[in-house]
Amino acid sequence: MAYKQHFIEWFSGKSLPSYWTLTQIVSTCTATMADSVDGGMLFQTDSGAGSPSASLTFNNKRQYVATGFKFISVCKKNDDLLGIKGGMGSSTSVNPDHHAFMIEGTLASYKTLATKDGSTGTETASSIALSQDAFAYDIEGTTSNVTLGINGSIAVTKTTNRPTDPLQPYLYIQSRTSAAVKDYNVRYLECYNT
Amino acid sequence: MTKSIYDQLNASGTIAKQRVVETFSGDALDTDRWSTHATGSGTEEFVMGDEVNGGLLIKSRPNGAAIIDFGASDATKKRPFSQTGSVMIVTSKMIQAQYSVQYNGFRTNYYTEAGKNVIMNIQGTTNGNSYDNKIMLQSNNPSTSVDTSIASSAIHDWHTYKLELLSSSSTLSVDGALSSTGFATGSCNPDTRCQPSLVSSAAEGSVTGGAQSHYRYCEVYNT
Repeated sequence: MAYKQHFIEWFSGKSLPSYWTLTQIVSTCTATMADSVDGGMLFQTDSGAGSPSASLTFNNKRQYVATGFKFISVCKKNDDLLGIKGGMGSSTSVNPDHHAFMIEGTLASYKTLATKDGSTGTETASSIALSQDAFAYDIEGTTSNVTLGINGSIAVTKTTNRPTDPLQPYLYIQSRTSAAVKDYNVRYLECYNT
Repeated sequence: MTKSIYDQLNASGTIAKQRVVETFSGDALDTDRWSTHATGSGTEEFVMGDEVNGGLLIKSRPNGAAIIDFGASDATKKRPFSQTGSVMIVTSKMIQAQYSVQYNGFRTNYYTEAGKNVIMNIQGTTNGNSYDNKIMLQSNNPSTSVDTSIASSAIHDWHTYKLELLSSSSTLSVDGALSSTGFATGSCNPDTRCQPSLVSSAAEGSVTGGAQSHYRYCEVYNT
C-alpha cells in the first residue's frame, strides 16, 4: 500500500517551525513555544477588548482528504472566556467553507464537533464539559460520517454538513467577553490521510 | 487502515505529555527547533553528515565547546521538560581519542548562565583527569559522578544512551543496560524545568580541527 500524507508536530524547540502560517483575524495574536513543562506551543491573544483572534494553518496547502482523514491533538486553555478550535479546514479564515473542528470555550456549551459542507455549517455538542484541563481529541472524517473523540472515546458522530473539499490542519484562538491576554497551549498535533 | 503515531506511543485514552523526536536527517540542522552556540576561539560546525548513518556532526572550536539546545537567549529559552519526570534518548558517537568530551542531557539554564544539570558525560583521554575514558552520569545538583563501567575501549563506539530524571534521582542506561555494567544511578535532579542540550567539546587541551561528535537520534519526553 502506498504511503499517504502524514504529518506530526511535536511543538518542541526554540521556535515555531516556519511551515506554519499565523493569520491575524482581529487585532494581534502570537504563536511561540512555551517555557513551561508540557507547554508545547503557546497560542496567545493580546489584551484587547475587540475579540482578538487568529488562525494557524499551512497557508492553504490542503493535502488532506475530507472523506478520509484523521486529526489528533492535545491541548488546554487557561481562561474560560476564550474560544478555541482545532481540526481541519479549507482556509485560514475564522469560518472556512469546509471544515471539521473541535470547538471549546465560549464558542460552545460543551466540547463540540463543528462541520461545514461548503455553504452550511452546523454543530453537534458532546456531553463533555468545557474545562481548563489538558485533553486529547481526535477527529476522523470518512465517507459516511465525521467523529469527534475526547480522551480516547468517541463523543460525537455527525453525518450532516460534512466537508468535501481538501483540508489543512487548522488551529484558532479567539478572546471573548473580557479583555485580557489568554492562552491556548497545544503540545501535539498529528494528521494523516487514512 | 493507517494507524496514528499517537496511538503507537500512548495507551488508549492517555493524554500525551510533551515529546520531541529528532532524527537529524536532511540538508541542514533544523534551526527552528535548535539553537546553536559555541565557546572558545575558531570555527564551529553543525552539519549533516554525508555518510551512511552519519546524522548530525557537531564540531567544536579547537579549544571550546559546540552546543545545540532550545535557548536562543536567556530571556527566550524554552524548557518544556520536567526535572522530576522526563527521559532523553540519544544515539551518538564521539570521534577523537584525546582532549574530547561529549555531554548531553537536561539543563535549566541558558548556556552562558549558571544553572543545574544532569548529563551523560562521555570523556576521552585528557591530562589524567579521573573522568578519563569513562561514560558517566553526572550532575551539579548535588555534585555527582557515577561511572557506568563501560570499557574504555568502547568509549568511542556508537551507543544509545537513555537518561531519565525521576522524582528524586536520575539514571543513565547505555545500550539498554538495566543494572551493572552500562547502568548508573545517582541522587540528583535539576531544580526546575529543563531544556535538552547536546555538547561536543574540547577538554583540558586543544583538539586540532575541533572535537567532533555524531548524533543520529534524539528523543525527549515527559513521563
